[in-house]
Amino acid sequence: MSSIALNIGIEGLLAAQTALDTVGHNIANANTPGYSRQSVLISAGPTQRFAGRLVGTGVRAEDIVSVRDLLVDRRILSQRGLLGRLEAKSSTLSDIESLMGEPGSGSLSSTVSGFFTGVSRLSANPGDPVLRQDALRAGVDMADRFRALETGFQKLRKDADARLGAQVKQVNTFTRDIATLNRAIAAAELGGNQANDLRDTRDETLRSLSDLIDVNVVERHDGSIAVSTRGQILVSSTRNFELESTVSKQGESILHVRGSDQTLRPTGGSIAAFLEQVNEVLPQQIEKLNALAKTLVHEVNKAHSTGVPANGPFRSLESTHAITDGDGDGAYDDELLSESGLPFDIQDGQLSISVTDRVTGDIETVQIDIDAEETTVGDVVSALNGIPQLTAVIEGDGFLSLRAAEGYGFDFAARSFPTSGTIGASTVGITGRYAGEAASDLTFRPRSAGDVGATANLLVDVFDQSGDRLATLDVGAGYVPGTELDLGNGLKASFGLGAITNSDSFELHAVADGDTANVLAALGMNSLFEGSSANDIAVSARILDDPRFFAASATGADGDGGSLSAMLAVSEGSFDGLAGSSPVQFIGSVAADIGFERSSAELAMDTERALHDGLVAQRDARSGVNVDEELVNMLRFQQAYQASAKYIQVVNSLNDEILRLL
Amino acid sequence: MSITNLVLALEANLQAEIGAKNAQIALLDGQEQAIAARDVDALTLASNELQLQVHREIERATKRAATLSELTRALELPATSRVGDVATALGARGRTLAARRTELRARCAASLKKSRHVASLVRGHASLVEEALGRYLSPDPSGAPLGRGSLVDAEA
Repeated sequence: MSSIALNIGIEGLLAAQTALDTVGHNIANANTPGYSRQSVLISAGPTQRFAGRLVGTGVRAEDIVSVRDLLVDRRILSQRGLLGRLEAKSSTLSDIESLMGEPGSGSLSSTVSGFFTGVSRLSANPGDPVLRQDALRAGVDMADRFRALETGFQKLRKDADARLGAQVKQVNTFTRDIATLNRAIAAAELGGNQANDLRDTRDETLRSLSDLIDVNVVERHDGSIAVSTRGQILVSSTRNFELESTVSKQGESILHVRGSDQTLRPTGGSIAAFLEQVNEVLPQQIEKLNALAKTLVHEVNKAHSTGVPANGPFRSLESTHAITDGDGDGAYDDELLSESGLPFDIQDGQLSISVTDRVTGDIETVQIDIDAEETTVGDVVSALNGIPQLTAVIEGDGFLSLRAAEGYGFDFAARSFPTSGTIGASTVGITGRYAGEAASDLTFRPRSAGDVGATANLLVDVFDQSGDRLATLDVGAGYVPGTELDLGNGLKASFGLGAITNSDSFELHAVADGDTANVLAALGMNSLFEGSSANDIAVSARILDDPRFFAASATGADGDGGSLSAMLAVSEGSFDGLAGSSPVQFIGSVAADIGFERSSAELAMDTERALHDGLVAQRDARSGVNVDEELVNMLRFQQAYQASAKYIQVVNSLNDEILRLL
Repeated sequence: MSITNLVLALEANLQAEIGAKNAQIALLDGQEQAIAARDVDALTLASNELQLQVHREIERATKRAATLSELTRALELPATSRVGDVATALGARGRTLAARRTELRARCAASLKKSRHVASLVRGHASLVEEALGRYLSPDPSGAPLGRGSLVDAEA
């Protein structure tokens, strides 16, 4: 019996020692991340038969268990995945926002506005070389900004891709650690006790893993856990399966488990955010930037290409975009113009070419019809070569070269033609630039016969090609021959002395745009900007070398800034490629979208962080170590032991006293 | 008081002491269980009850000493005589007293044994707590704010 009593005492002492050790362990780990408070499970020892009686054997510490709430732990994991994704997303969006720097000075919107401001100032005085230089400098700044932004976006994409790769490696390290811990836990728990500290380490590793990628966790009977993401196993008991990041044929970064061809699309963790940035957000930004650059280049060049340089018509001109030999037969002529690899679309329309005799000043204008579905490169070259004093050649590298004969020059201005003709014996002269929306064939027809400037009520009607009368000109008595009369839409007509009859007429082809087919912009002929995207946009090297090639005039007349006005119209225009907005509006909306996305991500992050913190507080309340509580417990024990010891001493004295009396 | 009444009073006193010793042993058992289970509330309750019992035992001891003193005088026994001496002097009349004396000796011995056992447990546990408290409440030589922190540090 005495040995049992002694054993009871030892068991109790050992149980208490285990409990106190656990208290100490709890306090020591109060600040260890992810540590779960441990407590000792104490149970009654087995009953033993002694001298025919059942005798208790005291208590023993059965197990030390971590106090944890698995449901809260799992919710923390998924919450951390969400937070990780939002943090990474917010960080990248913030980088994009900083890179764009909208709407500050030096931003894209300010350089685009700066370019149009330069053009606007120049349009007030097109002949001013300083203003011309300023406008070009503003164009250079704008192009530089485009390229810098594009480079910046590409760098952000590269950085995000590098971080993605680094995080994939980190995931593999974590899953390897978890597999190792699984082995250790399974081995340690074979005896039935919980390996709490190992479990805490594994939980902390899991939490770190869930920062990177969303995970599902299933615990097995041996204490090991299986970790999967989006249905693919990352850790199966004692083995981990590594993630790999590769680049698809489409150039997208993709994730998959090594050895599996199934693409992994995580929805949580920073990896999901980086994948989104690399494959969606940044490419979309680059695409928008390219769309803006392409639209600006195309629209400004459309206006510029039909303008006339300050030094007059061209002697020679070469395209900046090469035609490609699509069918690979070694010839360019058979290529459809609309499918000849040019960066801009070609549409049905006409291309006007005016050849000027530099000595006489006579201008011969010819229009070439372009059918986007049928006209070939050869057709255009042939048509150009059919114009007197003009030679067109496709060079070996696919660039179109135009050259005027000695003493001649050419341009693509919107000139109505012929600029002179006759009605009866009267000479008709046409001046001005037609400002109608589309080209139109105008017919001048006298209502009656008579002498210009002499016959009373001698009227000439002007009809458009639909037969609608646009104007009626009184060239009878009182009209001074040679006086210009307004036809409307910018055109004027003058009549010389002579008799006219109502059977005579004069046909005028009024041209609104020198290139309604957009052939020049597509080929890059007489372009202000080279390139067709954000990474290659640049002001034409030829124009920078000789600013007189900056075609400010629409007609070549002194002081005419018609081409500049057309360029200015681009700043206010709305374009399909820019979602129906103007260039500056488009930049504003892109910047606003990024800002909105970032602030939404930050708002969501705040909300999710609050939820996460709440869950962590919930976990800590249950699993965390309250140092005060642990110490107070010990102090209470100390007092209780002191009191107990005191009374036991009195009891012993009294027992001794009684025994002495007995 | 007559000798008979004094003997009856002493027998009743011893009987009450025997019951008290049984209760005391039960309380000591409770203390042992409370210590083993680290149930500080049960331990404190058992100690409080033990305290009450000790007070009552002291009262009984005072009465017992007075009754025994009166009996030894009445039986003209030496003043240092014990209950056993009185029972022997009483002869056949002292049989019950002798039996109660024997039983009480046994209960006292059991109580003494139990109390020594519990005292030893208490000392062991108390030294562990002292050690733990000393470890965690002693000033931190490293000065790290949260390492082996004091209560103030822990709150910070």
